[in-house]
Amino acid sequence: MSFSMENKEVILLKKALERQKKARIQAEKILEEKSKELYDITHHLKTTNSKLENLLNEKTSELDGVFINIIDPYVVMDLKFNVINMNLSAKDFLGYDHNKESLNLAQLVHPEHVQYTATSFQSLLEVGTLKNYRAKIILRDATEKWVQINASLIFDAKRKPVAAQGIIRDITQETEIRELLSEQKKQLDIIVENSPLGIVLTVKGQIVKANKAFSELLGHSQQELKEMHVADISVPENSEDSVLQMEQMNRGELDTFSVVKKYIHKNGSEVLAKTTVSAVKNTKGKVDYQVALVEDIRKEREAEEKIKASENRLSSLILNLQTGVLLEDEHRNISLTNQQFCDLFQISEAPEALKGADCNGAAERNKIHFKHPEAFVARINRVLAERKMVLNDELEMTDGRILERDYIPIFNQGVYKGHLWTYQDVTIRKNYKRNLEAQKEKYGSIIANMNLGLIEVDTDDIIQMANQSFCTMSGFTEKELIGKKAIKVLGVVEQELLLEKNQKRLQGESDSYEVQVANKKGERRHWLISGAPRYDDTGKTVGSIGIHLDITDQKRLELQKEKLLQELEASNQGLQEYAHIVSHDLKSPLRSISALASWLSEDYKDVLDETGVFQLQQMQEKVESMDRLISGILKYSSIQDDSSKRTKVDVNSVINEIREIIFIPEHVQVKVKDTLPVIRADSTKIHQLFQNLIGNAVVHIEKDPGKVVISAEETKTHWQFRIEDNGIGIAKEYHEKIFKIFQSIGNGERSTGIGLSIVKKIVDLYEGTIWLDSTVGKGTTFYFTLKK
Amino acid sequence: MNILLIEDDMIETMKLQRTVSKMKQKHPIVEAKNGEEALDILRSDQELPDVILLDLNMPRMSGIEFLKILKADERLKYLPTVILTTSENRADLLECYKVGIAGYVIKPLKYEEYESKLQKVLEYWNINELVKA
Repeated sequence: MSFSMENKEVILLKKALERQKKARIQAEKILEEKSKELYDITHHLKTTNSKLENLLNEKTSELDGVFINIIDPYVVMDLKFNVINMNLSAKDFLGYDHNKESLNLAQLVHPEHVQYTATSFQSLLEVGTLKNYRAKIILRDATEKWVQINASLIFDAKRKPVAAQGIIRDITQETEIRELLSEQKKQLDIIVENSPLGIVLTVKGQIVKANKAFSELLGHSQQELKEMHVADISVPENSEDSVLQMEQMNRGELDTFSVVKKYIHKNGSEVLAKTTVSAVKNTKGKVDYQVALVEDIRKEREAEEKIKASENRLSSLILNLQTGVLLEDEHRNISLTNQQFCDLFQISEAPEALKGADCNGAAERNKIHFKHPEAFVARINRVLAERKMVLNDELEMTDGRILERDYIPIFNQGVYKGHLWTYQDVTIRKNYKRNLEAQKEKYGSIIANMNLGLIEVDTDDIIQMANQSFCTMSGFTEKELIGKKAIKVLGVVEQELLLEKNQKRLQGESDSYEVQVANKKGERRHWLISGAPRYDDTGKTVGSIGIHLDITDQKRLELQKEKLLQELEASNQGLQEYAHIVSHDLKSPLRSISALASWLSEDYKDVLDETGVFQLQQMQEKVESMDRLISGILKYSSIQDDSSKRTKVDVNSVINEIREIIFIPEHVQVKVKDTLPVIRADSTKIHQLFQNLIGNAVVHIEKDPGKVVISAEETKTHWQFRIEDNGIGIAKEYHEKIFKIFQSIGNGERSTGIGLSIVKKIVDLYEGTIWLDSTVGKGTTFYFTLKK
Repeated sequence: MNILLIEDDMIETMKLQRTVSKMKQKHPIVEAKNGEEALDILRSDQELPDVILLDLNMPRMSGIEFLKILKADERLKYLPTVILTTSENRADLLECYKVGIAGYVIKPLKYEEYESKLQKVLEYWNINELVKA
């Protein structure tokens, strides 16, 4: 072990020697180094010294002008805006940490303020400090902040600027407030300058500021006014009051008051203005200023007077209105009512006396006047609760009157201010309307049910309405008619006539006319139309109304009748012709016989004996009576009514003529009792009539003196004539027979038996009757009547 | 004075002849039995009559028809024409006057009356200035 030990020691020693060697070398090296170090240290010390000096300088600079407030952000930056140092507060505010990343402050500056910032920095470099730099910066979170920075330069030992330090103050809020204030001031100025009210700021009566309106009101410029005292330009209307109030205000007892003041215009005229004075107090409650608002109230006064006048007019109008008016305020007290209202509800007080009266419960008190009192009250309560306008409520009163009521709530800016009731007596109108409706219904049902077709057309003949009868008449349904042109759909034959009639309607004319139409089946029908114009509410013609009657059957009968009459006339004519021809043909041979008989007795009178002559005479007589008979028949057959021949006929003259032409025996007298009438008739026939009767009478009188008396009397509808004689009389059994043709009862040779038939025929023609009283041997009285 | 008598009845013709023969002045009578015959005569070379006596009731052409033809004829319309008739028909009377006649005589029943009437008519026309064509 010892060996090893020794060995070990050797090794150790060797090693130590080695180490010592090395150490020496090391030491030498160290020494060398140390001497270098020493130099270096000396140098270093020198530098350090200098550094310390700098540091001291720095520290001095750092402390210099620093209001180190640890709360405010504090930043040191080099002259290229790179942050060298910043405190916690700055880190918080800016959102950056210079230890973690490099930060250049120039980049935070809002673009708007870059220029300003450059200028400010220049000034910092020149002066060494910068105060009140204000700019907007953009933070890390992109928010904009107004900052105020006070900065100073940091110098090195050689007094060379190496950095800048600054304290940042966040003045964002402050700036905003200031901007707001300035904005508000601007707005206020605008308001003040443009205010229609005069605004004056005074200090103890001295005008400090006056706006444009005030200047214009008084004619003084704003500048001039500033040198004036309130007293110079105004006189209070009620000065004592005004003075008192002013004193109160000065003592701080009154903040604001209003007076109406007279101001004096530059030109000397007076201006009446309402002035409201308000005190502006400082924080200590002392009055600094007085602000007066001056309002020119000349126009207002005028307007007020106008309003008053119009109010007066309105209320007198309301008072005299034919509508009952009741105006209640929001508490249901009467604001206004009128005479008509009092009259409607039989209120004896004057309308003025009701003002202020409480209407609560009025409905309950007055319900007795109404037919449905409970409904009346309920309705009022509902209307009041709803506060909605209600028009034309109809109220029936117990006395039969009908009222119409309106409810109008009154709102002022959405606030309920009361309501207006108006009542109108509509009894007459209502009854009228009811009557009208009843009439309309009546006529409506007549129209609907009448057998006359009714249509209404417009001015273009377009059918607007057709009743059931019209549809039945025409065969068309209502649908097929309405909207169609009447002329076309009904196939009117007389189109031009219809157009002419429509024209007449436009001119307001009504009339009736006949047309031919075709019904739906195409059958021709005759219609009688009564047309009248249709008017609208304004009286303008809007078409026509036609009432249609189907007269086809009547028309047919009429046509038939006309035809029959024509036939009858023709047949009469023919008959008369025939009678003439027959009479001629019968008369001609008679004339020949008569002539031959005459010639016989004339040419052969020497040859003929007495009997021959007598026989020829007899022949002549027979021929004569035959001739008379033929004439009589002809006359009888010629009696026809021809009203065109009727003229005024004086029966007296007729009698006189007859006296002259007929044969009247010597012993007979024809007399007229009183005067006979003048009648309207065919003179020839009247002549025939009297001639036959008188002629008959005079030849049948044997008594001497014979008498024929003619008289007449008037009845309502007829003339009654009477021809009385004292002749031989007619036996009762013949009284009817005598009027029949060829029934002669006389044995006289002149009697043909036709005379009384002619009489009867004429009397018949004049719608009269003929009869007689007679006693054989005493006389006969003929009576006959002729229609007037 | 030349007379044209238009008459179909023989006895009537005899009546006129007898009447005229009794008159102092002689009047030649030309007879025509009807209208056609009369027109033939009038339109022949014969001398025109001074007066025409015309019966209304004739067969075939009636008196009025003849009268109308006559009055429509430029040459014949001037001839005075007196109607002789038994017709008292007023319509005939009016029609005749309308067409144009110189007289309207109703034949009376008795020959004596006829003679007296006709003589008057003929005397009347005899004293008149006649057309004398």
